[in-house]
Parts: sequence; C-alpha cells; structure tokens
Amino acid sequence: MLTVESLAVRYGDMEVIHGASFEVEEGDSVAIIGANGAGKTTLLRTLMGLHRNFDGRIAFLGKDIGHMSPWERAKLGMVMVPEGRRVFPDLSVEQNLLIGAYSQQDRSAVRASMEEVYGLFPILRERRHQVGKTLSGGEQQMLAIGRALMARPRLLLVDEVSTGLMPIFVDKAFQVLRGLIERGVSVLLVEQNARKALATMARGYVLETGRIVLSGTADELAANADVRKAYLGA
Amino acid sequence: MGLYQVTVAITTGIYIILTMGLNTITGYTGQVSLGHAAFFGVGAYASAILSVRYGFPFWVALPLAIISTALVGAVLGAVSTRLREDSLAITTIGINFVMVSVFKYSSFFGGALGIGGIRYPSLFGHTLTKPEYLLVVAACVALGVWLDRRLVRSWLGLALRAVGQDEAAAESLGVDSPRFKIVAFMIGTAYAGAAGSLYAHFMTFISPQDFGFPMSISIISMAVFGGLGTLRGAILGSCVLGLAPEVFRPLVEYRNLMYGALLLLMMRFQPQGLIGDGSVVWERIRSLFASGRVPGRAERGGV
Repeated sequence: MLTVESLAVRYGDMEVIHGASFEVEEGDSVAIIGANGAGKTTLLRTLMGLHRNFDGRIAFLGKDIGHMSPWERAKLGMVMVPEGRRVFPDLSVEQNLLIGAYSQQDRSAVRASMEEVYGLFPILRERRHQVGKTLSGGEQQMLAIGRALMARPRLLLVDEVSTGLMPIFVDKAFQVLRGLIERGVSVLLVEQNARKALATMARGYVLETGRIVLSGTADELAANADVRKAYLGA
Repeated sequence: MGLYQVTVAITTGIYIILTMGLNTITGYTGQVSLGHAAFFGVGAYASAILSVRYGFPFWVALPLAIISTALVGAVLGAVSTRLREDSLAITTIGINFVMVSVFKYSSFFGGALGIGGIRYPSLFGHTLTKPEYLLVVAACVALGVWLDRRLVRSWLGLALRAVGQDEAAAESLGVDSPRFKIVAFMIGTAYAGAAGSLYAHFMTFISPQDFGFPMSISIISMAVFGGLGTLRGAILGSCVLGLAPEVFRPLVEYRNLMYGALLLLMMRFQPQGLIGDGSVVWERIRSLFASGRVPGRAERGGV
C-alpha cells in the first residue's frame, strides 16, 4: 500500500534522513521507533507532502505520490494525526471533525462518521460546542485522532500518540489505535514509547539518526537485545 | 443629526466595510495583509473612472468596482500562496506603495491631482442628500455583515478558518489551502472595493495619498484593536478608532502615532483585541450573560 524506497530528506543542505526504505501493506500496522531527534516527525511530514526537500520514491496504492500536495494525498486516503495534538484551536470540536470530513461529499455519510467518532470518544460529544484549545491534552489527542478518522483514511499516519499525555490517556490512545487496526485501517505510527508501540503494532522499524537500522515483527524487535537495551530499558 | 455627524457616520461605515474585508483575509484566513488600502484605492479609482469618464451611474459603477477589485485581489491571493507569513506582510506593504505610485504617476488615473468631479449618486433624477447617502452606506454595511455571518457558518468559512489556524493540519486533512487563500483575498478585497466606491462618490474627489500605507495601518489597527478574527471586533474597532480623532480633535495630528502605539500595546498586552475571543473584556461580558450553569471559565479545562 505504501512503499518508500531510498528516501533521503534534507533541510537546506543538511541531510537528516539517509536513504530509508520501508513499506506498509494493506491492513498492516507498523511502528517506527526511535529516540528524540532520530527524524521521525520529518519522515512523516515528508510522507504527507508537508516537507518537499527529498530524494527517493514514495508510492501509495501503486502511484508515485512524491510530487503530490498534501491535500491530494489526503484525498487518496492517506491522513495524518499530527504531532502535539494540533487541533484547530478556535474551532469547536464539531467543526474540527467537519474539517476532517472535508473531502467527503455525502452529508449523511459525514453524520454517520461523526456518530462513529462520538461513539469511540463519548467525551467529544459532551464537548462538541467547546473550542479546541479549551480541551485537556487527552481530549485534544482524541479529537486529533477523531478528526483524522472523519476522512475515512485507508492509511493513517500517526505522529507520537503518547507524548505529553498522562499514563491513563496513553493507554487509552493505544487502545483506540488497536481498535482501528482491528477494523482494518492500516496504521503507520512513529513513536518514542517503544514498549507500547511494539505491543500494539504488528511490525516495526528502528530509526536511528536518520537511518533504519533494524526491522522485523514487533515480537522480534521486542526480543532483540539492542532494542531492549536502547529503547525498552531492559 | 447634523451634517457633520452624518459625515462622520458615513466615514465610520466605510471603515467598517474595510475592516470586515481585512478581517476575512487576516482574521479568518490568517494571511497578514498590510496593504489593504491599495484595494480601497482600486475600488475608488475604478468607480471614479467608470463614473467620470464613461458616465456610468453609481449603481452600476459600485458593483463593477467591487468585481474589478476582487480580480486584482485574486492576483495577490495567487501570489500569497507562494509566500510565507513574514514575506507576505512585506509584499503587501510593497503592493500598497506600488499601487499608490501607479495612481500617482499614470495619467490614466489622473496623476498626483487625482480625479475630481465624481458625481453623488442619484435615484430617478434626484441627487441623494448626505443623510440619504448615509442610508446607502448603512445598507452596504448591513449587507456586508449579513454576508460575513453566512460565510462564517458555511463550509467555505470553516475551511478558511482551518487554514488560518493551522495550515499544515488543514492540508493533511484534504483542504486545498492555496485555493482558499485566493478566495479569502477575493472576498476581502471585494469589501475594500465596495468601500472605495462608496468613498469616491462621497468625497467626489480622490487622490493617491488617500490610499497610502498609513491608511492600511489604520485599517489593521482597527481590526486588531477590536479583536482580529471576530466580526464584532472589526465593527467595534472601526467605530472606536474611526471616531477617536473626531471626539478628541487634537488627536487628528497624531493619528498614526496613536494607531501605531495602540497596535503595539494590544499586541503586547491583549493580542485577542478588546472584545475578541478569549479577551478579558469579552470573557467578562460572556460570564455576565451566561445563564448561571455554564459560566465561561468553569466549562473550560475538563480532565
């Protein structure tokens, strides 16, 4: 579904990702784990088309999408949950969700998606008239995920689901991701919290200073001595 | 109401229309424009030329001026999609100076002397009096307010505000932000075109310096002072800053100094503006009118 071949990403003259290759199959759930500054956010922004300074091939659903704008990629079914729970601060919860459904034409389908999101996160229904910035961190994360789901993604790119959240919300956020994967949404998660990420996703890659140094099933990675030492604190 | 009051009211109405337009561009859509007066000028000159040189009545010149200004605005909008925030601000200042020079040095636009002899509008052979003209301006303000409310409640308005609040997030949800920036500039400059036409036919004489950079600063000061991104802020800001120099005559000389100082103070202490969302005053008003159970603050925070 998503194939990335020898992706090199630069900021100005400085290369920050050096020839990364990986793929996400239909229905697959993949974690890219790595420390702060390993290039995880840059990688996702490049996949989404928000960062354009790169070489290499990005193919989605068999199409080369490297030249496409973010909104064209979104219309193909690639949707991102941005880092830091970036909800629209002055739009209400409901308006945030509606923007997620921007590419959906059918009004009744939009209502159905919204009901689905409210079913998943009942607190969002309670707060539907509140503006985004007045929500707690956990609620904003739910809204960011809910908003992406409104777009009915085929592939969901998730940037750090756990940063800055209280442990109880971290569990909730991963539980939601697991639910989505079970419903057949393909997920690519970049995440610092390697333990939770490998427990939730089926496969994983380890990104270290811009290079993919390891890959395998989540269980293999979780059992790998280097991974355990560097990322699982064991 | 004496003639002086009528004049002040007409001027204030024109300011309100200008500020509503800028609020669409900068408030809703987040595209900082420091050259709004350029479009005020395009509207005024278009209307003046159509009326003086081609004999169009005001009622035809007004819509044509609106359309021409919006088309020029579309060009700037298209440019803006290639620029980042700070360079857009500077580019719009540049456009303001370029427009003033074009008006000033081109004989087509009457040169430094400007264009005079613009007729007051007439209706069925009767030339409107000033109080009657005030009604025309008031009707335009009312129409502008109504359109703004419709915009904010529409899909289009939602997309504009999403782009204004977080462009990258909006784009990664499928919102084609360049298209919406262009639309925002077209809407906002259309308002400026209407204001320009109303101004030209009211003053009956226009010259390039009426539309210079200081005017742009006045307009953005009004929007920021009232509360950028809200219609009520745009209206209140234009009324207060438009009337201040009339009420305190000595201020007229120091008008730009006052606007500049206010702009700085607001940015430092109350960036939401006087009655923008989340400003001290607006929160007070909200909690006064909130029906006991859900006061502004208690509703916030949550978990």
